[in-house]
Amino acid sequence: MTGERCSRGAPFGDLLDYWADDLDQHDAERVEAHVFECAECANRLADIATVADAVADAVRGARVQSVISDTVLNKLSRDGVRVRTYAPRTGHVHSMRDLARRRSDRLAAERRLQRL
Amino acid sequence: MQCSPPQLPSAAPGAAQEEEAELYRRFAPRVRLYGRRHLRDAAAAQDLVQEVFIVLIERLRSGGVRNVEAIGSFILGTSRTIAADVRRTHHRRERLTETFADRTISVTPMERPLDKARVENCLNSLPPRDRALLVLTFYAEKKAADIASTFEMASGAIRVARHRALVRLRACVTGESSR
Repeated sequence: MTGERCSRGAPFGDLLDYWADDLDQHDAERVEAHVFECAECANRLADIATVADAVADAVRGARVQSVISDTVLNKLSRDGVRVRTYAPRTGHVHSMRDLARRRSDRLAAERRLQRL
Repeated sequence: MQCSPPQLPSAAPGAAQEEEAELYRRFAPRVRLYGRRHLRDAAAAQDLVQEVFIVLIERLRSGGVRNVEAIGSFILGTSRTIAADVRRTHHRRERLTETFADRTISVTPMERPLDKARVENCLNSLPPRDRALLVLTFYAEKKAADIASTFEMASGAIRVARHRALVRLRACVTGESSR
């Protein structure tokens, strides 16, 4: 982990692992006990939660360009986001530029329909 | 920022109220975070805050909290006990909500609002791996071990990379240089 620590010596890296549920129960309880005693770590944990919310909102709003795994696709579907998938025909190659242009054309068509 | 212990409410009614408010200001965000982490629901976390503080204030006013140094630990213990009850109630309520399709909208106080457009720009400006790590962690709620198999990296390396990605994102959003 990186070396950043609070004034009491607790590593900030533990807070992210705690929020991401990557600590075992013993370590998670140790971090919780520390957060309830240390305002600095409580603030840092609140920062992590806020950034986590903002990242999740951005993904949910399809405003993040990222490689998307099946896990993310499934969660987007569960969150009620309309997901379109395209399967290229065997032997066909689509450039990313073509896909982006098609998406842009489709969005423009949807906007025109909404104005009607 | 220092971690100074809070003061116990004193006997004077006005002062006691101010000190209770101070306790709330200091500890309500921590209880809310605890609730969000364990209950995975912002509204349930807010319910937890209310219930924990009802217990805490009753105990303070009846003189049931003697050790001021341990007030944080008392609040955490109360949070743990009540969260277990809330979790049971919440599951029951979720089942009822699914059955009757009641989509009640509740408003929960934000910890600290961020400029969403700036977060999005910063997120999109991160290296692809950093961005994917943050998306998988904060949106897909994947643990490091699960992400490790996707990236063919060790779980420990994922945790380090994820931490650095968060530091970069935070530095971009706040305008600080990343350390």
